[in-house]
Amino acid sequence: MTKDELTFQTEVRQFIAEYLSPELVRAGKNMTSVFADYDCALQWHKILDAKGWAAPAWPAEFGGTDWTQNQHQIFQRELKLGNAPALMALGIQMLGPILIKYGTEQQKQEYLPRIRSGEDIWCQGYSEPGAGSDLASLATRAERDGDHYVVNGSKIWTSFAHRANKIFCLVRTSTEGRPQAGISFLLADMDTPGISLSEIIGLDGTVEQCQVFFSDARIPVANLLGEENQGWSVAKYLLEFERGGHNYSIDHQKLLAKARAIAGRQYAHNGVCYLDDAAFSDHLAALEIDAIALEFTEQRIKASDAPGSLTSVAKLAGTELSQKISALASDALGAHNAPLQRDALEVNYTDEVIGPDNAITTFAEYINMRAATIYGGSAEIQRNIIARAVLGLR
Amino acid sequence: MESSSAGNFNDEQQMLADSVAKYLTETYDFETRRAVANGDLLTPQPQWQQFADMGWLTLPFDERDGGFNGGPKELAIVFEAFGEHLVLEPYLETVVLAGTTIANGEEALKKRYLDGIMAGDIHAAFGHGEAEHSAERYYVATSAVQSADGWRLNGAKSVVANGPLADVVVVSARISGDVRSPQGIGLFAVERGAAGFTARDYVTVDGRRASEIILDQVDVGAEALISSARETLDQTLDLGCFAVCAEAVGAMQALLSATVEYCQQRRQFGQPIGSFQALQHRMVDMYIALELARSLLGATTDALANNSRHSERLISALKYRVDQSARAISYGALQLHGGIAMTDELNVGHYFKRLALIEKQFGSAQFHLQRFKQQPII
Repeated sequence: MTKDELTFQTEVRQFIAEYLSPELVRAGKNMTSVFADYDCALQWHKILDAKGWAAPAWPAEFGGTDWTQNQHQIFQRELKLGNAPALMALGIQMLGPILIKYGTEQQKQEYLPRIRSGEDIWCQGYSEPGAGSDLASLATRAERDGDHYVVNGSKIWTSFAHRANKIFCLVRTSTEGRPQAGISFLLADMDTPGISLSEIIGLDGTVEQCQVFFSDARIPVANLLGEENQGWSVAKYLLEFERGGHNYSIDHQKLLAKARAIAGRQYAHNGVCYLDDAAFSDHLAALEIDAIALEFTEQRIKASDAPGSLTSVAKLAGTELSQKISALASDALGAHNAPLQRDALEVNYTDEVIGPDNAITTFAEYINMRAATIYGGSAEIQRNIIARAVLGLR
Repeated sequence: MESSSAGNFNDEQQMLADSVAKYLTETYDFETRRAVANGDLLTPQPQWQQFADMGWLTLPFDERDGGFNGGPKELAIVFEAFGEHLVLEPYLETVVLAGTTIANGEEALKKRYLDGIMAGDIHAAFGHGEAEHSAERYYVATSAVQSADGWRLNGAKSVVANGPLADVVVVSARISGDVRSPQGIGLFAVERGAAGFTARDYVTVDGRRASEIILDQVDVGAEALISSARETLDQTLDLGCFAVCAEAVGAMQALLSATVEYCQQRRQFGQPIGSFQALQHRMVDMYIALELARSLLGATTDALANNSRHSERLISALKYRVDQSARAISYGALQLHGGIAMTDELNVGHYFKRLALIEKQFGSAQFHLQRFKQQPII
């Protein structure tokens, strides 16, 4: 680290020490997926915004920063390792960059400040019950009627739609030509008449996902982002952000630390704790090697102007590695995976936990991690991308 | 695909297999199971009495005790079916672990508990694991000290499955030796209502029930000591281990079938996703994983039935293989189903959770690998 970077790191650490309350730390520590406690996430968002750090990756003219890549890296690492709760990412990380690239002046002025301040919480309507990996086959129809589109159809796996006030979605505006050709990108208020949702209970018993229904929902044509029928290019740009924008290597550091803590306390057999068992610690070391390889892969992506398919490599290897580490932590936890302790994950929980106190997130994290190779372009789709785009296989 | 791992059945075994399959297929659908899972922590579900009425609760017990005299084959039949239907009822805890241990006890003890267990009136549990040592087979710090009219127990037991419902808990407590010695461990029948017995009851991630139990100066009579032989503890834990492996084979079969069916129905890119070779190969690997586990289950069933000296080695081999197969099959099932498998609504994720907990029961992978290596080669 350069001297300036060290100074910056100190500044971030001081900020965290001052503003990240014990309750917010608990919300960060108790995360079992990419989402933190909603209220805490919003509270932290507003604290960051007051400092001008809510959307650091945006250009400075839109309220972002002019940090170097290394500063961004330091900032993200300090926040994550300091157990800050993750922000609701879809507005800042996903829609923001799109608005900046494709939005009209009016759209930028209307939406960007409200995303940055946390006033608007966005959800993403891409997948449909019949269009998952084959996203281009999406069938939610938007028919032009004067100054409005009349939208009918349904979106699924819409993360946090039940807490969002806005949705950006892909809709079909034409059935001519290739399936990709007739897709448009629309922005909508969740309280638009005709938009409704049902919550989906996840395997861990909590609600993170929803299905959103459109029934003759009238959405102003002014809410079109980019050109009509050009939504696929817009979405592809966004998918690159979804895949490349995530720092898996910091996740891995946290996951490895948690696995080590559990393995140092639980016994595998006959007086040998997991961390001292040769096979277990070899396995852990092998995963640490992969984590280092991943970290440097991410650095190559950030240093490159055209990371291209390396983002698919990072997404694939990064998510699969997260799964392996969380499985190892769950292994070491043994019988103590069993107690269902959803209430102990609430930030205001004060009772004693059941079993070891460093593992209340472990099982939920283990099961939720299985979704990481499904969402944001499944592992199979990522492999197809690499096969075609990098290796030239047809 | 093969339907059973236990090989050829005699008439009685076939009847048992048919009756279990018929009952579960007709009455234990996924919504019924959900109602059982959401049921009250301390109230038995109606299914248990039906199990009793069909005679299933007498299965492993001696005819002289009023049992069915069933062996490992019968147990495998029942548990494979339980796994296939994700049965939540605490058969493992009440009948296999606590029940067969109590059957080793004195007549007075058997009279007090065994008839009630077979009739479905008495619920039981087996408390052995302790805190961070639950993967260590012989770690027992809970102490048993001889008193004037029996024993005084002190200690704590972790994740005691079926603890909330249990009228009687068979607990391991150290009579002599170091905390890790395989010798000197007694198995005691302790009633939940005993003075000094406290339990923190909870639901488990796979929809079952368990307790953290504390024994604070719990006095029991001399007859409460069932056995202090290492063999009794080993046989009980190995029988339980064998039973959950059979359950896992049933669950893996169900997961594979569900995945193949889903991939034939689910269409993306204008064709069933099962037509993609990458997915086909993954399902083939799942099938291979299942059949390897099934083969070891069959081999272990025979070894147990014949009292083979290789039983222990095979049980460790079986458990290790089942853990590997369970992982390969449940990961594949989730991945190929996609998002829908990550919901509470579909049964696929529930199989995954059950298999994940089976993997963590009856000793770590490390324990079983060690024991496998130490046993004589077949």
